Amino acid sequence: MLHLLVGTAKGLFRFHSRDRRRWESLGPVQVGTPVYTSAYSPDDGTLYAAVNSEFYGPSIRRSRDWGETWDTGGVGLQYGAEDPEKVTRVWSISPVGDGLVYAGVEASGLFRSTDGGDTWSEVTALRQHPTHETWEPGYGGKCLHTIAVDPFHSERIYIACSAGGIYRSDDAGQRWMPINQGIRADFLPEDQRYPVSGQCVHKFAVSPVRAGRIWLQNHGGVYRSDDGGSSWQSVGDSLPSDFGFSIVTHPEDADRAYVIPLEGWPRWSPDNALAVYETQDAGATWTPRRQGLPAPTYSGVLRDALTRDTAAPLGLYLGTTSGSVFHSADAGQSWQVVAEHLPRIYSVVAAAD
Amino acid sequence: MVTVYLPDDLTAEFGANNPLSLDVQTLGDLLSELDRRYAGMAGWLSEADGQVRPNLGVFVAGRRLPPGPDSESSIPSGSEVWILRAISGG
Repeated sequence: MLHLLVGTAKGLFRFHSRDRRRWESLGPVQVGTPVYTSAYSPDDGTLYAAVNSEFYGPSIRRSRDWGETWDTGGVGLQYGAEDPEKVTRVWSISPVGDGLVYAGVEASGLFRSTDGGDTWSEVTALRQHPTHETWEPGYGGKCLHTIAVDPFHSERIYIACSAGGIYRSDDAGQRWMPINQGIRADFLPEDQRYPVSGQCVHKFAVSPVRAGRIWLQNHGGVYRSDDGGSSWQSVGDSLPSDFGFSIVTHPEDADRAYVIPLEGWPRWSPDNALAVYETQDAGATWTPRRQGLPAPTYSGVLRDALTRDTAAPLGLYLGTTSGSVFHSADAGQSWQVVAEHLPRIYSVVAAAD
Repeated sequence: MVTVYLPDDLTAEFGANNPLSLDVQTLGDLLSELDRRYAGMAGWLSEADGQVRPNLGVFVAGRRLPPGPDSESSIPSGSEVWILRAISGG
């Protein structure tokens, strides 16, 4: 069974399918509360949700029955009482396995649990990095939104925050280095556009099949690294816009990736034609995949609202800021509607059991 | 003893009794006692510095505590304490 978990401004909407063609709605849960993202751990069948209540604050709730019932979340997801920053929202959840889970929060920081989310503690070295003072809030907040453990090097962790940039640790979080060399910061004065840190990286995706390859959608600019982020090559010049939020890798072909170009403002598709762009040649060329997607449209797709499964042919899934969910069962060649008229969509997660 | 009324959605999430009779003298005591009975509840109601979350209102003996009441706020014996969700959202 394939499960589609759609985090929205007013709850988590659930769909499932046996054949990736007919989708059954299981209805919303955490109703009325913003759910920024979710994550599934196949190790133990736990579904995690970033529930950011306007009343009760942020929590990482867990369900073992695909969202029918939830616990109240673990403890420790706070900065210290004397800390000038507060944890106000959870933006990312990354289960690694054997009870190890990372979570990214606003104000930007990284938490770790080694007991599957019962207790959380901050990975303090990240916010202690001297470049922390260069971090500022973007339009969505000052958030750590992307976490990845390198599939070829279990001690290597990547994170990205907005604005702040992408960072890497090679020792499981004890020391961090900014790896933004070559990534542009359009919002800074012309002579300061390549700083060490402070970039507004919107999303990155680590290739699961080629060591060192990372794809990155920046606040202006699409990049590829082949050396674990030590250097970056701009690969977005031929796109109709190199602004966007989301970027997705192919599960088997390291040279394929998917982005959704948006106008820098007002952050909807160029010419109001929603399209996923695919590269099959490591970013040299990009091809629009829009058959079945609406036009004109006046909505965008946020950083966690484009995802994929691991099937062949590849399944792609996206959710729009105007509450529509689309899926493709042929690697983007054609698209069908899964749902419409949902609240503003923050995230789409595909998980199989 | 004081009588504490919690928001319905909070009691549903934690399976809590409502209202509760608690032997507490301050807001800090109250949060600690709630957390002892229902693990994690204090983190839902207050921030790391002990202040009540901004979109919650706390009424003690009919009077609303100032925004962001802290753990030292006193609760006279015999009071009714209401913790309510604020007007918020859209």
